Amino acid sequence: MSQRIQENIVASVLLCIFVSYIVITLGFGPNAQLVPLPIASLGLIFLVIQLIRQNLRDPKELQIDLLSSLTGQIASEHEASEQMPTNKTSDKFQRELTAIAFVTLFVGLIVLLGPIVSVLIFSTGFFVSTRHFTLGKALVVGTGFTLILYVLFVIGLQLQLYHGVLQSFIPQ
Amino acid sequence: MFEAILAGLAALSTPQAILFMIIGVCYGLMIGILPGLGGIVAIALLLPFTYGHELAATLALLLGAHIATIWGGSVTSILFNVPGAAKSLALVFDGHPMTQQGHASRALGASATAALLGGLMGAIFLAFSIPIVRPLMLALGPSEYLMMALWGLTIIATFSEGSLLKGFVATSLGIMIAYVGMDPVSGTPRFWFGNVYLLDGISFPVAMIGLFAVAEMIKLYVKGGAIVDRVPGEEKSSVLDGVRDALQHWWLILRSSLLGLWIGVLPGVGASVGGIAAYAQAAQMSKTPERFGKGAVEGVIAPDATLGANEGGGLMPTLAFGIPGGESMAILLVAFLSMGIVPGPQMLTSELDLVFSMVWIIVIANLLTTLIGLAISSRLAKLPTLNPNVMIPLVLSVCFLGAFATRGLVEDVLVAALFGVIGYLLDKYRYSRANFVIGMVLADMIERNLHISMGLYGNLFVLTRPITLAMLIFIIFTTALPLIRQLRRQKTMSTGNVI
Repeated sequence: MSQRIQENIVASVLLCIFVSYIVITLGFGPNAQLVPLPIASLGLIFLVIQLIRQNLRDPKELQIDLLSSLTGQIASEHEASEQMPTNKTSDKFQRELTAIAFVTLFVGLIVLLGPIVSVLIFSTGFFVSTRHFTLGKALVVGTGFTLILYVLFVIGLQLQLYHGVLQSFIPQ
Repeated sequence: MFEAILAGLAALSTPQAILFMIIGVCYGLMIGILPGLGGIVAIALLLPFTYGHELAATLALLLGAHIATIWGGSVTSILFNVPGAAKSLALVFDGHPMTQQGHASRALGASATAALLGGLMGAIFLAFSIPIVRPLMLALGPSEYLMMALWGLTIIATFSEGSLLKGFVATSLGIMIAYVGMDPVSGTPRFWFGNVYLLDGISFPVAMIGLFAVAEMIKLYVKGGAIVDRVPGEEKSSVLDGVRDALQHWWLILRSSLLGLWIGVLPGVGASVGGIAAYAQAAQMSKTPERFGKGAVEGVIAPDATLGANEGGGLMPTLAFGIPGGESMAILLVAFLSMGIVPGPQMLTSELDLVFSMVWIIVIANLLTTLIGLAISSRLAKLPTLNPNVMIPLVLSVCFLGAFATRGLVEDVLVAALFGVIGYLLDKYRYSRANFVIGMVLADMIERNLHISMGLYGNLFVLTRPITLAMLIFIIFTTALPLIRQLRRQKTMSTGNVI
């Protein structure tokens, strides 16, 4: 997928958000919509201009970086990523999806089991799945880290723990 | 004022405050040395720990960590040729050549001394500017504060990284997110979709954890491999040589510090620009500019003095007007608000001792950073070689537990994760995260002051208040100027291409 298409998808999603926001805001009273409405409308106008510009001009022209212009650097990390070969881009996309999947998995575990148990399972699982540690070593490091966090948050900050939605299914 | 100076110092002399300061500085050094995890991530991760402690101690933890991250970033630039944060970029130009030539310790010594002296100048500026700014602050009304908030938004968007339009879009998005929840003026629930959790609004600390810390971990995973895999070579000079270098270049430190102060006071012109500008002025004013880029110690001293002084300068508009000087100041502002510190004229009157506590924290944290940093820099320098496969689960765990700890709500973990993905996408497609955050922070100030101004001076208050009108014209001018310049530049470039 080209950089332009990706940029257009992001801009289209943002466009939907701005339009929805404006529609919802119109349902509020005059005081409640006094600031959100003009701000969202301005944002929408800027976004539409951006959308038009990014489709009419060379993508490189759209990136004006003050730092780059000061230092005279041409190829920033972002620009370099734009020029990646297709196989590297698809590999990057896969890694992005995996990273987001890891985050989602971790949050899912927290919702189901509570934060402390999830930290143990996630960190151990991550070490093993990335083949950084063997299962035994991953368990030791994961347990040690979970204990540190337990001391810091539960004992130190006296955090009232959440035990997850699965707790209600466990007989007392 | 003298009582406030003493009271500010006394508040920091408790065992908790001293301990928090030391923890903050050590933690800040560690985070600062990890590339990509600068002061913003450091403060975002500390936010859950800011509740239920002495106010001065919490400030010592936050500001101490923030100040230490600045020098931590310089260490990575000098030793590994990888900027710890965007603001440390200028340190790479001469710092790393010094390391390659076997003068890493000398570069670190010069860098730490310059940062210390710059930081002390920043603290002195903050202290001395209070009597000057106070009468000005008290003369301003809500309509002028509204204009200042608007100016802060526009100037920040204009100076943002990436496209100007994207900067404005990100700012608008940030403001829009801040209006989720109960409207404090009309009592109308906004954008809550029947969900009680959303009635309380999006927690700023949780959003910060997601936008910066979680997003950085996603970035790190996508990038793959160790952050840094280089090792420093053998040493030909000592830390003391560097300290001596910095003291010999006192005039350069003074110039660079003044530049840092000025850049700190201006909203939106972040320390990233400051470091580069300091390097440029050092090279331009040097008698031997040809040495720059090849390991000139002045190329290390100038950016570090500017970065050190930048903090004192940045705190002034943040505390006095509630307008953050940059993204790190915006997160500090979030932390201040969550601790019950409300920026405004009262900061320079009834809360003056708190401001002086911050002045003392800048002084002490700079001293501690220099002492601790020089003593343990060689050990800390090994941290960037940490494998992301170890770092990602550890940092993500702290992020999500931290998000949960802010209010004890599991929904906050979901929000942190969601903002993590949003932060990653914003960064990838160059919709400035800094603008997004600053929009979130200034949204309430804009709405509150607009309603008060309309109530006090009528709907046409902009026309009836001359200072407000002058400020509005100034805002339009400062917003339009960079756009006009950009259009002119593009026109010139296209004409050049045709020729």
